Amino acid sequence: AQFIPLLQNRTVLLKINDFVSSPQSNKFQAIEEVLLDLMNEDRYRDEIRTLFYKLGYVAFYEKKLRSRNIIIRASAVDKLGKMLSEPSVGKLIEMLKTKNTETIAVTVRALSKIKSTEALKGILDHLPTLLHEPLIAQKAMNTALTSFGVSAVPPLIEYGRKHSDPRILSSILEVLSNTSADSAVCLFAVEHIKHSDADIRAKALKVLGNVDTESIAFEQNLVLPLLEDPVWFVRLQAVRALGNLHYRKAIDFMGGLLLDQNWQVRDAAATALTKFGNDSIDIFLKILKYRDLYAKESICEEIEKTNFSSMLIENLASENREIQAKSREILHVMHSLHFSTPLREYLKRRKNEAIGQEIRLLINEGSEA
Amino acid sequence: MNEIVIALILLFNYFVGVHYGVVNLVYSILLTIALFVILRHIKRIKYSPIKDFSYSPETPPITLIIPAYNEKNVIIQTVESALSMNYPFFDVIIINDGSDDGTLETLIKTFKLNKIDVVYRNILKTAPVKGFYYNADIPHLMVIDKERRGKADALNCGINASRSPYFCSVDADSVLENDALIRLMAPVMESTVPVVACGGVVRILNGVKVEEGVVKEIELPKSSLAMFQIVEYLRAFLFGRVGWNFMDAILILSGTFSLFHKASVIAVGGYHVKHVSEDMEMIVKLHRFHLKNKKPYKIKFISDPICWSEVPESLKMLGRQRRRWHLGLIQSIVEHRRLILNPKYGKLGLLIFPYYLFFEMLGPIVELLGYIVVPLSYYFGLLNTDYFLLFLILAIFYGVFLSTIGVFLEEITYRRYPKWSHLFKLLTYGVFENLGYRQINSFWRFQAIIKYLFGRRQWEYIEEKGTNQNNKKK
Repeated sequence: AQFIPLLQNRTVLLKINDFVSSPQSNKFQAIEEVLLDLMNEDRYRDEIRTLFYKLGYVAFYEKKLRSRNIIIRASAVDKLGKMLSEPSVGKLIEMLKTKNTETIAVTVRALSKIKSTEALKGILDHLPTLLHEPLIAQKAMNTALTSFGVSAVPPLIEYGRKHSDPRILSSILEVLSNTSADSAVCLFAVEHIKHSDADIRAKALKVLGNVDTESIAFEQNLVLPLLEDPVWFVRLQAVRALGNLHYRKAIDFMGGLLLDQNWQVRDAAATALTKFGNDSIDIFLKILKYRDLYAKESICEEIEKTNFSSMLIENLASENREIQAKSREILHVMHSLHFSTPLREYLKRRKNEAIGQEIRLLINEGSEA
Repeated sequence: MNEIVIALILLFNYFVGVHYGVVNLVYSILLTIALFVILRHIKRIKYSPIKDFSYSPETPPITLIIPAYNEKNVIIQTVESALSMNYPFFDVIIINDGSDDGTLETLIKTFKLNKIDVVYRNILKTAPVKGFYYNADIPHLMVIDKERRGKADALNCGINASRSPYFCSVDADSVLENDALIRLMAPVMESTVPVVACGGVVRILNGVKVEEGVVKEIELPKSSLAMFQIVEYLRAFLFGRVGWNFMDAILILSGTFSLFHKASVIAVGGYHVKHVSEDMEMIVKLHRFHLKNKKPYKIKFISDPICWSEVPESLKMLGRQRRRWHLGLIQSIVEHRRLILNPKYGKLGLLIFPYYLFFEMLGPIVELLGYIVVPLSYYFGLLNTDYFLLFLILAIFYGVFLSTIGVFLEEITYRRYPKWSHLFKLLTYGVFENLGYRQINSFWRFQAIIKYLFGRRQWEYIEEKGTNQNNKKK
């Protein structure tokens, strides 16, 4: 209550002497808690950072970095990160040289909260050692690097081009897959889709799946050969990427994965194909005529889960006879495999009587069969 | 002849003394370790990455698998609690394991579920599935109806249906705290060694006020039996498991609330349907598989994620539960007897498994006979007063000390029972726990041994009455 009016009037620094207290006194801790709480509001952030510095909190916790006790050290690192103390970045980077996994994990998080260029550079300079030994879990590192946001993307790409360690490339690509892909990101991913490491190929494909093809041009047919990759999770990412990219020329190739030996790939292929709307009907029909029951069931399940079935049902009233007939045929197969719920639900809702009649006919045909 | 008999009786008396001495020594070591570890853990929680992970895209998806058999009175509360998790990517699968009390109908009605068509991949072979139920407005909830074959089979069914890399088994009469999942997952994400299983703390729901699946007010139960179990659980979780975890020697994670890496569970063949206590069996299998194949792994216990669960409030039901637990222990030890004193399995084979065999599994025989033979021996002048006092100290008073320390440990760390009256009541029950309650537990565990020897190895069903009277429904 005392702070907010002063922060709003930007007079808090004039009254700073009111808030000075000896370290570790109750007042010191109370003010720290209040200020850390207020840090969550963007509008006061700069003033509060200055306050932390001028009230001696930064100096206090920087001294604690020299403690031999891991918990005291880690606590201090954490506090400096929460205080967004940019002047402390150099000292925090020194913490990355310890071999203690706990200290390193907290330090990486703290640096990712500060988000400065120096902080990112510090992490990247130590990345090979940190991942190689390993002194930090890859997911924890990826979470921290993702926190840096869009501003980290160019340095990450530059760094990725200088290092060939698969672990590093994997982390970088994973982080890039969590950002919106620009042309530089897209180019970097394309450079790695033929990497010898399957994990890197898969992650590069994940990145490419996020590309907005309306604003960024890239050769989407570069992804096609990966639909035949020997590793299942690469095929999975390839089919997902092509689905997200809405690359229509890939429909037939993706259809081949509806018969993949791996069920996750089959499911992903079915889901991806549902994104192409009526353009996928032919390929679904073709595969549904195969004997492979697992493939057929996977298709039916994905058609139902992605609501593609709604489009098929609406097509029963389409003026395009061909589309109507093909949609009917798919629904017939679904019904014969006991995937009838969308049909029954539609009958309950009774939106279009003509469609309702078609559905009843279909269900009766199925019962007679 | 009389001299031989007396000698044997005296030998047995000393054996009882040694047994209690060793057991109390182990518990003391666990307690000492736990004191340090928990106090340090409390400090570490302050800079825990939970908040960062709770909105990170790196946080792996989890499926909460909740097997349910005749849980009509409590299932809605459990599901509401599960759906309210503060976790970025999760789904909930309830498996109705052939209930005949309307559990499925209650779920369908409450959550307005419709039957849907799903491809069920029977990777771990289970009893036939009868249907899947789903509401598009609650997309991360699914109910599976299947034929009854027990909890292990229901869990396997949930694993088959899950699409997440991790699953968390939760009992149907449990309420999870809002951040329980993220607290359970955070150490998994931070570990540089793959964590294949991670357990949290189970606390007693009896007496606790729950509203719409959220714990609102923590009170102690009125039932004495539930109070004894609170003390027992505090001891077991806050120092037993913490201590074992520090030594990397976790052999049991509570099936009420534990996280597993799905692929690892599938690799060991899923849950064993013939075991009455599937949770320990799973942990032993995971240990064995990874040690045998020399794969790096960890099995962890964390003391801050909390699941509140109901406990029996009648002697009959409690007896069933404890017999089942002990029977499960026996089954696991017998099934995996090759581990005992086998150096190929390192610490597990040379220390942990033998401890569980001699002191946990066979312990009830020594304890129960000790409670009878030692006092009688003293009465008939076979033992001197000093020895009898020693027996009392080891068998009873040291147990009082351990129980009360468990309560104090709770008080100085998590302090989930906020009132001073709670502390006094828990301490009182900590004392009395060792004057009857522990002894009857020994008797039930002894019964389990007899049942095992005579081939009666079935699951004893415990009725859930929804005893939490303070629940408020929507």
